[in-house]
Formats: sequence, C-alpha cells, structure tokens
Amino acid sequence: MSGQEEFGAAEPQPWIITRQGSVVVAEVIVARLFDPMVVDRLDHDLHAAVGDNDDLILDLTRVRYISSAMLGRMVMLWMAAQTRGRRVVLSGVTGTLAEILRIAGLHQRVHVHHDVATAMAALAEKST
Amino acid sequence: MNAMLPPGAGRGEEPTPNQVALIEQLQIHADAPPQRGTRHLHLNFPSAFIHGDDAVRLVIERMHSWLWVTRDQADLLTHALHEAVVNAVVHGNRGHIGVMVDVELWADGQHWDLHISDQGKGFTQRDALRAFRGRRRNLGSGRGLVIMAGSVERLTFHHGGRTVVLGGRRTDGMRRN
Repeated sequence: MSGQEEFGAAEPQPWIITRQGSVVVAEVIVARLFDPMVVDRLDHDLHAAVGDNDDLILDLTRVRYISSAMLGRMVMLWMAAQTRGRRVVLSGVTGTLAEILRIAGLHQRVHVHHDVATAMAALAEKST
Repeated sequence: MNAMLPPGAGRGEEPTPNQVALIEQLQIHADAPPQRGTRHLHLNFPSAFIHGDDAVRLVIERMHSWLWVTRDQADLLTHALHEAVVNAVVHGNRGHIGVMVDVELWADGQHWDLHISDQGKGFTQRDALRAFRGRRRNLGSGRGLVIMAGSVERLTFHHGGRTVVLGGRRTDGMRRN
C-alpha cells in the first residue's frame, strides 16, 4: 500500500506502508512534508492502514521539513492510538527535524527511536 | 479526522506553560514594522501553497548563498518562513487566490528581517491563545506560532497582526566582528 497512485508513475513514491504483525510501519520517502495535499493524503493512508489493534511506527529518516499541520495530524494519530491502548512512535528523527519536534513540544509526548528496528524492538518489549 | 477521537481526547493536548507564556509574550503592534537597512528582496504572490512554497525556497536559497545563515539555520528558518507564509495564505487571506501575500527581506550589516504580510483583518493575543488552546491546535494553528518563535531570534507582529517579522543575525556579519 502506498501513495503511488495518487502521485502518478512519474513521481517518486512518497511513502511506503508495510505491516509486521500488529505493527504498521510507514516509511516517508519525501523530504518535505509541507504541501497540505501531501499531508492530507499521508494522514488518509495512515488512518486507512492502522486498525484498532495496531501500533504505528512513522519513519521520518528521509524527511527534512515538516509543517505544523503534519505535526498536528501526528498528535491526532497518537491520541487516537492512546485511547485504543495502542502506540504511535517515530523513528529516524535527527537534526533540524528533532529540533522542530522539541520546539513544538512533541518530544514529550511521542516516543522517538533511532531507527525502525529499534522502534520495533521497543514495541515488542512493551507488549510482552 | 475528528470522528476518530473520543469525547475529551483533546484534553491530552494541553499546551505546556512555556508555550502559553510564549504566546502571551507575543508583540502585536498596530504600526508598520521598522525597515532595517536595505530591502534586498521583495516577492508578491497569490494566496496558494505552490506560490508560497516557491517563495520560501527562493528566499532561503538566497540568504544561504549570501552566507547570511548557516545550513542548519536555513533549515530552521525554512520551517518558520513556511509557517508564516501558510498563516498569511490560510488565516490572513483565507486562501483567496486573487489576494496577494508580500514577502520582503530587509537587512543591515548585522541583522536581517523578513516581513510577511497578508491583507486579512489581523489578530489579537486573545485570538492566538484561543487557537492555541482550542481543538484547532491539533491541526496546526497555535503550533505554527510556536515553531516560528522557536526558530528565529526575533518574532514580532505589526499592522495589527497582518505583518509578521522574523528576525535574525547575519552569520557573515558575526564573522566580520
């Protein structure tokens, strides 16, 4: 499942969403999460992919810029997961992106892991 | 989107005391912003994301190429300028394509100022706090202000909120000292 069809064959794939058991992993490929249409589409795809009993890892390794609107969507996803007793975590957040999360206060709410493997291990550990 | 949230879930998204203090300290002046030194850039574009994004890229590219900001500062400033432009397009001009947004870059030997102006009705501190505390914040309203304030040295509002000024120190100016 991906945003490929929305963006056309000539466009690079903006994100790849896969599933490993009850964990949905969304790897964002685009560097800029500014465009409101892209933010809406990603939000839509994440909601479509994540079921009631799923955790979500949002991998932002390749993302360099993110809008407050996208941060807001991430908070909504996180809050919705909280109420289901599930988790939303981030991976690959470094540099300026980490600074933006700190400025926006998200680092106090959403767990951030070095990479997808570390995030996966942390989720598995807490599930046992 | 809201349908996914149970009643009361928004309570988990209260702003921190620091973030509230930041909004309360916003300076919203009635008059025009001071014009620092020389105007180096003046862009005027319709209220649409694509034009705003082009403007952000151009301004940041120029400031970086002139060595006024480091790469890291340019990345942070990109976030701040993006939020300012989106505010102008969405909240100021209400997305009316025929209504223009102005971006001006002023600088003297030491500092730079970016003026981003819309043609809306401006806002008050109370409006900002309401956006910050309300559910709209989940979609970015108050958080955009926080990102702007946290990403630049100076943040002020003029013309009753219709012009935002993002300010910083030129890195080439610092090297000269």
